[in-house]
Formats: sequence, structure tokens, C-alpha cells
Amino acid sequence: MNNDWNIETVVSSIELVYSTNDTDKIKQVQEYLQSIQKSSTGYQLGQVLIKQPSKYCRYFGALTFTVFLNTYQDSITSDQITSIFDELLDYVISLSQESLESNLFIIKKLLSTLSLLFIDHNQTGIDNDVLINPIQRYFYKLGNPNIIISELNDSQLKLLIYFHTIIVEDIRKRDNSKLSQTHEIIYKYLFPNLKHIFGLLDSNQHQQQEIHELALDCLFAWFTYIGIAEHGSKVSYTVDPQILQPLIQYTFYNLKFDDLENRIAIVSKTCTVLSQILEEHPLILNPYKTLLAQILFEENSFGSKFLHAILSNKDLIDIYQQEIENFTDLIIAYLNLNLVYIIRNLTNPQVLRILDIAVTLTNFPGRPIEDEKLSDQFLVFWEEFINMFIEDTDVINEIFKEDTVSKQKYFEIRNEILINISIIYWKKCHIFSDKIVPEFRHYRSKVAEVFQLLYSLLNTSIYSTLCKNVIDTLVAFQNTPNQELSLDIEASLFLLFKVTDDLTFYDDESTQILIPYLEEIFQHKVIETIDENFKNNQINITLLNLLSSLPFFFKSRSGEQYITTTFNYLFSIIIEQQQQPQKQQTGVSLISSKTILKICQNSRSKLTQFLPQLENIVVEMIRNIEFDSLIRERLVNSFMSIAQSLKDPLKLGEVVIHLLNQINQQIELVVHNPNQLLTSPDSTKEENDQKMEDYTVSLLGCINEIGNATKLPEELEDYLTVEQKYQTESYWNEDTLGVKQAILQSINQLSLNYPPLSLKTLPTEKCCNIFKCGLNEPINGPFKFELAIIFQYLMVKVQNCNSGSMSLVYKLVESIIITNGKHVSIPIFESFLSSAFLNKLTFIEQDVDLIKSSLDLFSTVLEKHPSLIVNLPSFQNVVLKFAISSFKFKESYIIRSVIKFWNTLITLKRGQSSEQQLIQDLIVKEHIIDPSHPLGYSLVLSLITSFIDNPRSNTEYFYQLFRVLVAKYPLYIKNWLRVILIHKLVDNSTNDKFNNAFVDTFVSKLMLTRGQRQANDVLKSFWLDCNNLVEYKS
Amino acid sequence: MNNAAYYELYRRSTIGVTLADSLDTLISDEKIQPQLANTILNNFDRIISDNLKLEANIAKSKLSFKGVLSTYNFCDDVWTFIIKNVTIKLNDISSEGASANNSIDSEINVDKFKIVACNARRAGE
Repeated sequence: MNNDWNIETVVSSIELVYSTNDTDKIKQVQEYLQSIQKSSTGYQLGQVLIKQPSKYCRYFGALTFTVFLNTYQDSITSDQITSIFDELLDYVISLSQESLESNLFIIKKLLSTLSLLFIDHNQTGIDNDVLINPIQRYFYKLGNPNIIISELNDSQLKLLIYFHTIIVEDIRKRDNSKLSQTHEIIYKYLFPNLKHIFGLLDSNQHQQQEIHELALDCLFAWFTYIGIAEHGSKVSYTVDPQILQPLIQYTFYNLKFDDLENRIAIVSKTCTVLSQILEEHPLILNPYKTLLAQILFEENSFGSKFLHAILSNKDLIDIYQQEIENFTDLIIAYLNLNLVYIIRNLTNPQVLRILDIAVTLTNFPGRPIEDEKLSDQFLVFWEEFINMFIEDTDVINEIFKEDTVSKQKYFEIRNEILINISIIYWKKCHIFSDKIVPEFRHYRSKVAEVFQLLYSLLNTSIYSTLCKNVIDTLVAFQNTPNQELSLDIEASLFLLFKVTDDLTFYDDESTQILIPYLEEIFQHKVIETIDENFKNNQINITLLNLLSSLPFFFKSRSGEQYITTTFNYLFSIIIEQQQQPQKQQTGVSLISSKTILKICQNSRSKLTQFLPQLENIVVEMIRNIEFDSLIRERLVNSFMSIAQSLKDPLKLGEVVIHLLNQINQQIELVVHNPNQLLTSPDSTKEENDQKMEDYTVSLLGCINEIGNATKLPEELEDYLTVEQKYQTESYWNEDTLGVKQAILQSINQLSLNYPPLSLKTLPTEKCCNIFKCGLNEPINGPFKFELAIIFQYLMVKVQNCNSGSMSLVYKLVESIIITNGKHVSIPIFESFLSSAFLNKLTFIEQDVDLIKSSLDLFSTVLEKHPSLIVNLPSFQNVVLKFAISSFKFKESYIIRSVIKFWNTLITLKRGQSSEQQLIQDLIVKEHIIDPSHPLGYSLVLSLITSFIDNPRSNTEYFYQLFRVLVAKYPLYIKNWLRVILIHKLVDNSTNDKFNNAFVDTFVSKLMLTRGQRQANDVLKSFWLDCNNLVEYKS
Repeated sequence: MNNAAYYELYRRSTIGVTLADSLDTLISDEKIQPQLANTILNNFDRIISDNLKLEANIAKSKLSFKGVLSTYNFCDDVWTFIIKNVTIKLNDISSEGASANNSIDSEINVDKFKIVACNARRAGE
């Protein structure tokens, strides 16, 4: 710290900070200023600066006092605090007398420093009048400790309000658990003054608008503080409404319409304060409930006048946007609080009037988000409103009992309100721009949620209304096309999509009831109309989304007749988009392909008639490099899903081999004559290479999709008859068309023998996925390969692949072990281990992802089929050393894997007794790692070293392994841990805390837990001690 | 708001544990005192909780799920649900505008799904 400073240098430095734009210079000067602020002469610096003529210097002086007090808070005596408080208060008064307005930012900083002194020292200096009642001290400084607030001038009163505000705002930033006494002192000494202030303001003796605005800010701070004080101490402001009566009365006093133009800021702030009270302390408003309702909702009251004023003058809407939003927040807060009453008294004219105002505000003129936010503000309320009807059904029925007339009237009113709301939001969610901004998209989603709730309450009536709207608008549009009608159709289709999608997600059965309504829309040529009139428009996207949610419809007898039209539309979009230059292509064709996929997967058995046409399209897509890869693969899956539904292995075999032959022809072209495929003359070599690579990977992806689509369902007995099962099994056993050979040919050609791809990850991923397709198949099929063939491929592949591919190879072997482990022989696994791990060890040890993947593979083998590995010499000689050395990493994913490996090895749940004995011998007897210690010792050494060195976020992963070791090898662990820790912590540490007793205590505590859950706490505490850290708790 | 009123749930999120690790490093390097680290974590509890509230209008992505409710309990104002065979639908509003493809929600399937739900209102309120 720097005690040497010269005031001229300091002043010029401060001026420089506020005048230059040179960030390096500012940083350099700030470092200098901070060092002298923190010096032991910092307070003197503040005293000199606060008296400078420059406002920047004065502010910096005020700031310097704070820095000094924070730096030396422990060494300042109680007497010093009092004198500092007095001195700072003198500065405040002097500056405010000079000019409160122009010195305000300096005064606020000084008040904040005074509040710091008050909060920090009122508890230590309980006998110190200055610190337990700073306001009284202020009065004393004004010359009269018994001064009454009404005698203060405007400037003094403003200062008083600022002080009250800043103190409670600063308290909010503190740890509330240590403020109990402060809250009590505030309640006893400060709060009475506050009540006097608001009593005075309420009696209207002060007309200055600025004072009222400050007072409302102060109220906001206090109503926030009250909750904190009640939570952190025994004081209670809200137990009796009388306690806060002057504050609340003053708030109501401000809610008046007169002279609105001049008082709009006051009205707005009043709304904010009242909203806050309603949301956080609703009980204290109980005595004022009627008054508030009158003010807000009655004829000629403030609320109705305000609403009328803004609705009748568009200029006011633009000027008072924020104020209107605050008023709306207040209305919503009131409605939320009285929601139950409103719902149960719908027929009450007063309630209807309240709801009328809510509906009017919801229907506020303008485009949502862009022009108005009120309809957005109201969305959550209307959701709650509808939810309450759903939850309150029993009570409503009980209220009316046998009175069917009243009940009918009630439901008529309810439905009328809900229909009004739905019409408003239907209009509001109309698209008004070609580019939909994310905020409006979010708004539309929230509107859709209201409609989903409305469906829950009103069932198909809301759905049929939307469908009817689509039909009417379609008819009108077909007669006279115009933009407005198309937007109407889009909005209705969007809401229909969202409601349908929600229904299909949660309950497939309930969608059947929608079929007649949807059929009517299709009858009125919704697809044809949109297809003919709109291209690449939001309405296309909306229609596509709706179609994607309708597989249940196309599966039905009514819907299947529209599949042809739908498919024509969907394919035309894909083909038209493909013909566009790449830059003009949009995501519409992707949605279209996803919709086709959904329909084909869900209604496959209804679509077999389309196989020939689909085959032509799919073959063309395979041949054409220009198609998007994802679309190509989706359509292959769509086509094969239908073919698989034939349940005829002969036909399926023919279809599969036909596609595979096409794919292999294309692969031949890629390998031997790629230029024949590239059609764009303007592309660079790099672009062409990338395009070719994407296409080639996509060809492998197509084979993968054939595999995915031809997988048999889990409940095979329900899907195939015994005869069909037999036919399928025998057909694929023979595989007369050579399907499997064709698949292997493609894989070998691209993944092993084609240099541009053989060292890349993506093709390996596709090939591994192709092999995975058949692993779970219960009977033979086109993708069910002998395990020896898969291992053979993998052993060749690992000789020529990158690290990303190696991880995928390990993952595939993990899948084989999980699904078909009992069919894997020890020699074949040993052979794989030798090729893919032992021979690659140096390569693997340099790549953290590969270390993780290999450990995961070993864990899976140990967990599922330990006999495959535990007896192998290489396991004991290499794998265990590798697993021990992996403790040196701090990456959480490696730590998780290495811990899992050792946990699995030690527990060896599926191991035979001889294998478990072997592991036990390895742990306690065999000196595998260290010639002078058994494996267990080396394991504990690595484990405890890694545990101590790892960050806090990794510590939890270690607990389980410690617990397993303590439970299984208690005596050994106790000795090993003790020896290791004494050597590590006591002998090699300079910290006196780490002595034999420390180690013994930890080891004893850990052993006492016997590996139970309490071990976690012991280990955590040990880790904290070793790292000299603390547990973070509030 | 007062610190004690905020849950410490989000300290177990990735951003929370990473913050705690960073604070540990700062303490070990003697750059900050443990008390300051505690205050920072208390602030973290408050800020993350406030920002995730509906009113903050920041978290706009939506998640829907369906599955078989296996167990549930309500203890100390905390709901716990364990759901099996769950389909989760993710709707990332923030990226929806970037690609029309995203306007169809994506779904993922998980075997087991645990929900711990606490009252967003402060304790004692």
C-alpha cells in the first residue's frame, strides 16, 4: 500500500479517470488510486478530497471513506466510529446546504457510508446513541435534537427520506442471519420517524412532487425490507395492520386521477408499491380491500378514469407505456389475490366489471411485444384463471347443487368470458411480419398454452371452433384470396397444431375424438389451397407442423384417403427446395422430411401402396449428391419402415438389396469416378471435397437407416406369427440375395479402404451404428452379423483409425458385451484386447478421451462378463497398471471412469468365487505395481493422493470407492491408509496441523463408519482439512 | 432479498460447482478470504434463483415429459418424484427462430427421471 500521496497528483489523477478514454491509462491510474485509498492515510485523503471544488474529487473522497472503513474495520475503536459518523454527517449537511441537487451523487455515497457504519456498529456500540439512532443524530446536527419533522425544510426532508431509503436498501445486501439486533433497532428507532414522515406527507402539507416521488421509492424499499426484517428477527410489522397504517394510507392517498399529466410518475410509482404489497404482504391490505377495489374498478374511480383516458388517446399510450404496464401489474396482482373469489362469484355484477377491465386491458390496442406488452402480462393470469376452473369444478358443483338455472347461467358467463379471451389471443397471435422475432415466437407459444388449457376445460368445443374458423376462412380465401385471410388461417392452424401436438404427446387415445373435425378441414382442401397459393411462407411451416402431429389421423379410416394429397404436398416441397440454389434453401424441406418420417413410422401398414412411388424417389435421392443428407436418410428410413410392415422377408430382402445395390453403385462412383457426381461447375476443390465427403458419409447413413427401420419390435410375439417368425429366421439364415455381404462390402469399401474417409470419425460412427442395428434383434435379420465378423472388422479398423474412431470402436464392443456378452469367447476378446488396447497403449495414454473410453469398456466387461478379462495375463500386467496410473488425471469424466473401474473390480458382482478370490489375492498379496507392496496399497496410495489433489467438485466421486474398500478390506485399509498418510502428510509437510494424531483420528473415524454413508462426511471433512478450505454454508 | 431465503440447489449445477472450485482456488492462492467466497455463493443463490423466475423472462425454454410415476413424496416443503420410462420433449424457444427445423420439438427417452421441486416462494412466507 502506498502512504505517500500528493493532493495535486491525486486530484489530477481523478480528473484523468473521468476525462480520458484510454483504458490502459485508466487502469493504471485506478491501481494507483486504489492503493492510496487502502493505505493507512486513506481517511485523511478522503477528508482532503471531500473539500475539493471538483465534484469528481468530492465523490472520490466519499468513496475513499468507504474503502478505508472496509479495510480497517477491525482496528477502529468505538469512539473513533462515533467521531467519523459525526464528521461524515457534517459533510452531508454541508453539501446539501450548498446544493442538494448538484451534490446528490456525493451525498448518496456518504449516506451509504453512514449506513455502513450504522449496520456494522450498532450492535457493538449498543450504548452509543449515535449509532443506534442515526436519524436523531441528524436532527441534533441540524441544531435541535427535538426538532419535529414538519419543521424541516424541503431539502432537509428529502435528505431524511434518502437516508431512510439507503439504510434499508443496504441492509438487503447483507447476510440476514447476523442482523437480528439491527432489525430490532431499526424497528425501535428508525421506523417511528418513518411513520412521522408519511403522516406528514399524507396530511398534504408538502406539495413538492419530487418529495412524493422520493417517498414512494422509500416505501418500495421499506416494503421489501419488511419481509427481510421479519424473516431475520422477532420484529413484526405486519402482525397488526395499524402498525403500517400511515404508510399504506399515504400510498392510497396518491392513487388519484386529478392532474394526471403532472402526477403520472407518482401514480406509476404508487401502482408499483401497491403491487409489491399485494404480492409480498397481502394480509396487511385486508382492511383496505374494499377501498382498493373501489379505486381500481368502480365507475368514475381512478381505475376506470385512467383506463378511459389512455384508451381514448393514442398519444397517451405511447407516452405512458411504462406507467400503463405498472397499472396493469397492479390490476393483475389484485386479480391473482382474489382469484378464488372471482371464480366462485362469476355472476356477481361487481366481479363481471372487474373481469371486464381485465379483458379490456388484455385486448389493449397494438401488436403484441412490438406495440404493447399488456396482453403478454395477462397471459399468466388467464392461465391461472382457466386452471382454477379446472381445479374448482367440485366446489362450483357444490355451490349450485340442484339450482340448474343458476348453474347454467354461471357456465354461460364462464364460457362467454373464455371465448372472449380466446378470440383476443387468436387475433393477437397473428403474424404481422415476415421475420418472426424470438420474443413474438415465445409469446405465441404462451398463447398456445392458454389454448391447450382451454381444451382441457372446454374439450372439443374450442377445437371445433378453431377448425370451423379454418374452414370458413378457407372458403372465403378460395373465393377471394387476400393476405388477411391467410393470416387468419395461419393463426388457427398454429393453435390447432399446438393443441393436437400436446394431446398426442400425453394421450394417444384422446386424439380419436378429433378425427371428424380434422377430416372437415381436409375436405375443404386445406393442403391444396395452401400449396397453390403460398410458397416458402410461414403458413407452409405451420401446416407442415400440423401434419407432423397427425399420424393418428392418417392411420384412421377417415384420414387414409388424404395421404396421397399429403405426400404429394410434402414431396413437392422437398423437390422444389432441392431445385433452388443452396443459399435459397430453407428449413421447410427438413420439416417436410421429418413429417414424412413421422407419418411413415406411425402409419406404415397403411402406406404399402406407396412403396413403388417412394422407391423411385428414394433411389433418385441416393443417386443425387445435391440432396440434403438428413433428408435423404430420413426418406430411406420412411421407405424402409413401410417395407418392413409387409412382414414378408422375401419382399423385404428384395427391397433392401435393391437399395444396397444402388448405394454400392454410388460408392463405386465415389471411389473410382467422383467427377461424374459433381454437377456444380463453380465450386472450388475444397467445396467439392467437402460435398463428396458429406455425400459418402450419407450413403453409410442410408445403410444405417435401413437397419434402424427394419428392426423388429420388442414384443415380437405380438408382431409376427410363429410361421412368419420361422420364415424370417430361415430366410435370413440363408440370405440368398447376399444382403449381409453387400452391407459389409459398403462398410469395408468406405471405412477401411477409402483413404479420404478411413481416418475420419463420422464414417466410423455410421459403421458402428450399422453393426449396432442387429445386436438386439431376437431373430436373424439383415443386420444381424456374427460376432466374429464384427470383431474382425474392428480389429482391422483399429489398425487404421483416429482417436475419435477408437472411442467408437470401444463403445461398440461395450454394446456387444451388454447385449451378446455370453456369445463372446475369451480368445476373441483377448485377441481384440491385444489389437485395440495393448498394441495401442502409447497412443491411448496420450488421449484423455481414449483413456476414459477404455476404462469404461473394462468396467462394462467386469460388470457383465468378468470371466472374459480377469484371468488374462495382460489384464493383471497391463490393464491394472493403466487403471492405477489413470488416477493422476483431474478431469471429472476420467475420475468417474477410473473410480467405476475399481468399484466394479472390487465388488465383482457377477464373478465366480474363483474369480473373486483371484481379485482378493491381487489386492492384498500380489505386488503388481510396487515390488514392495501389494496392489491394494498402490491403489490406496493413488486413491488418497488423487482425492486430496482433486477439486471439490470431484470429491463426491471418490466416496463410493473408499466405502467399498473400507467395507471389504477393513484391516488392510486401516494400515495402508495410516502408513501412506503419515508419510505423505506428516513426514513431507511443514504444516503442524498434519501430525500422527490427525491421521489416526481420520483413519479411526473412517473405519468406524464401516463403509456406511457417514463415511462421506468424514472424507469431506478430511478433504477440507487437507486443502485448508471450508464448507460453504449460508 | 435476504440470503437465508434462497435455496442452495443450484450450487450443484455445473455453473455452481465450477464457481465453488474457482473460489477454492482463489482461497488457496490467498487471493480472497473464505468469508468472501461464502458471500459470493450466497449471492449466486440469489441471482440464479431470481433469474430463473418466470417474471425475469430469461429462461424461455420449455420441457414437457410423460412417463410412469414410480414413487413420490412430500417432505419439508420439498416434492420428490421418481418417474420411469420417461419421454421428454424439449422446446428451445431461443433457437427456434434460427432454423425452421427446430419448430418441431425434439424428444428424448430416459429410463429414470428424478424431480426435486421446492416452493419458489421463500420459506416462512
